[in-house]
Amino acid sequence: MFLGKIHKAPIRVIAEIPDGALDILRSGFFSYLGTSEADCMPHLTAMFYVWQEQSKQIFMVTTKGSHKISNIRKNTKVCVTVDERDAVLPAANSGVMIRGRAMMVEMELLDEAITLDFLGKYMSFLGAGYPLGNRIAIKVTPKILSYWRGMDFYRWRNPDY
Amino acid sequence: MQGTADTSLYSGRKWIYEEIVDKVPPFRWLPPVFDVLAQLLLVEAVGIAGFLYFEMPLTSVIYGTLAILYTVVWSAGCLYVIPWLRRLRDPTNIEEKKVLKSYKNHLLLDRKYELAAGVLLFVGVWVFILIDPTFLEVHLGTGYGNLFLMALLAVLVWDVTYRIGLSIVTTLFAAMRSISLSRAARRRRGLEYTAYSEVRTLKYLDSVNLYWAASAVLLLPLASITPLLLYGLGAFFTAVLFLSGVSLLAMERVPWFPPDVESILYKERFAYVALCENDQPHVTPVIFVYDGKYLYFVVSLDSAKYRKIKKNSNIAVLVDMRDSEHVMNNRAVMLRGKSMILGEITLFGLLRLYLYGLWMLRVRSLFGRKYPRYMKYYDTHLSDLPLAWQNKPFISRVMVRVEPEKITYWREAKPQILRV
Repeated sequence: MFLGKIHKAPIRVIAEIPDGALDILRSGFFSYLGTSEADCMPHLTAMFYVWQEQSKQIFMVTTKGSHKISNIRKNTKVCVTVDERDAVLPAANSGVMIRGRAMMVEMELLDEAITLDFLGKYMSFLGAGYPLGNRIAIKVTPKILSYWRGMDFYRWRNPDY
Repeated sequence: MQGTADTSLYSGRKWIYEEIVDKVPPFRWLPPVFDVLAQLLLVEAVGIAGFLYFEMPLTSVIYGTLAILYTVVWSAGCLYVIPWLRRLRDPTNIEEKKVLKSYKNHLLLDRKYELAAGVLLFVGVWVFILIDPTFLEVHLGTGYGNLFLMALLAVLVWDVTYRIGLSIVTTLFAAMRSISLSRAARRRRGLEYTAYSEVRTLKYLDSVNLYWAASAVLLLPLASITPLLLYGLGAFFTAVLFLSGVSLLAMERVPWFPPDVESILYKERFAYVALCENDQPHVTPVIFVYDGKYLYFVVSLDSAKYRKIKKNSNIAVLVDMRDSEHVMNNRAVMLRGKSMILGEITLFGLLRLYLYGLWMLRVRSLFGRKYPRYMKYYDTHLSDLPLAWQNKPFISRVMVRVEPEKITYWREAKPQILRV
């Protein structure tokens, strides 16, 4: 490259998750879960999720036989992105990207509060007949949380990871 | 039933003495490639024996050899085409399936068209020979009028004219198939489509028509003995080139993906890009355009995406239609494949710029049309933005082209995998 290093907006490293990021995590409807296959081939799905404030973890529910589950069994590193889109102004786009570790939790062992949270958030959408039988929960523990709003970038590293 | 049809398809592509010789050892034991070579040698040996016995001039052996060589080069092409054609998978669109089926039937089972073309050309050439026999008198030496030699000559003339006729007929069928296929493809609904790999195979098979036409260059010295034959050969080349061009243009208009997938890729405004580095996935939202084949987005030279693509070009892109009111309206498409960076100022980057430069301008204008407000924002706020964000091609931003290899389509959370 004949050009020198181009300057960009600096990433601010912060000690606490910023409020903006928490707002997005609380209010977001869809999250995008990235997993990777054996040859580092990424796989991406849109997922319902709930954010648990105390443990700073994300929970998702999926079917047991799905592709992402078999990916996570082989490689627990995942990435979850939740964002707010703005079709008019690029500077109004904001989002949260969480890189961390995923763990599968059987629905019976899942904290009841989380199941209720999940059903409460998506019940009107899924309808009363949503089967929890052949499902499994995915718990994502963040290692690094990146947050952006317009041109501002923040990074939070989980001290408990 | 299928098995017998296939064998007859296979034997349907043989020259006349192949059919006879196929029943005679040792040819029936040889694999097809050697079969063709062995017959070349046999026919050539008979020809040379005739040349020596009847004391023909040297030019006749050259002309004869070229004609035999033409038939052999032509037959070699067949050995590749037929298995490929049989391996074609059916489209999920019924109309397209019908088109391909009738194409295969015409090509492999129906011999009347090729026979008609062959007979027409054979009679034409033979009439021409009989009208002006001086050429034969000179070249056949003392053998002129010998019944055995004339029969051999007739077989050779038939072999050549039959192949030329067949070339024209196959090219014509290909052009007709391409036109009906692209017409049927543009009337697809829902998830109906022809997997792109099959369209590519058909395009490859069409190029064999050009190979067959090109092998007729071997006949040029023979045809140059009289302007009439030369014009005939010229007309043949022109017809094949024209029909192949028409066929290619029609095939280029066959959409790559089913309409449900295409409508999402054209209409939706945001995509999520997943990359992977050291087994750690990385997901970010981007704006993108789709040009009917590939998906493009733009990254900053300073971004993590750029760095990761340079290390590992595997990519997954998800485009979804969100509707938080109705579960039925949620649809998503995931394209997985390879990514390529366009617009870098490196050795390979410049080469790609040379190859794809004009197309990049088109992609840029697609961005302008799909995201006019974004582009306006980048123009008006140029001075406020850090360089990494400024919309300056080559200096701060490069384009990424995603070539899909696998598509997954979700409707109401039910995945369906489509072949590319």
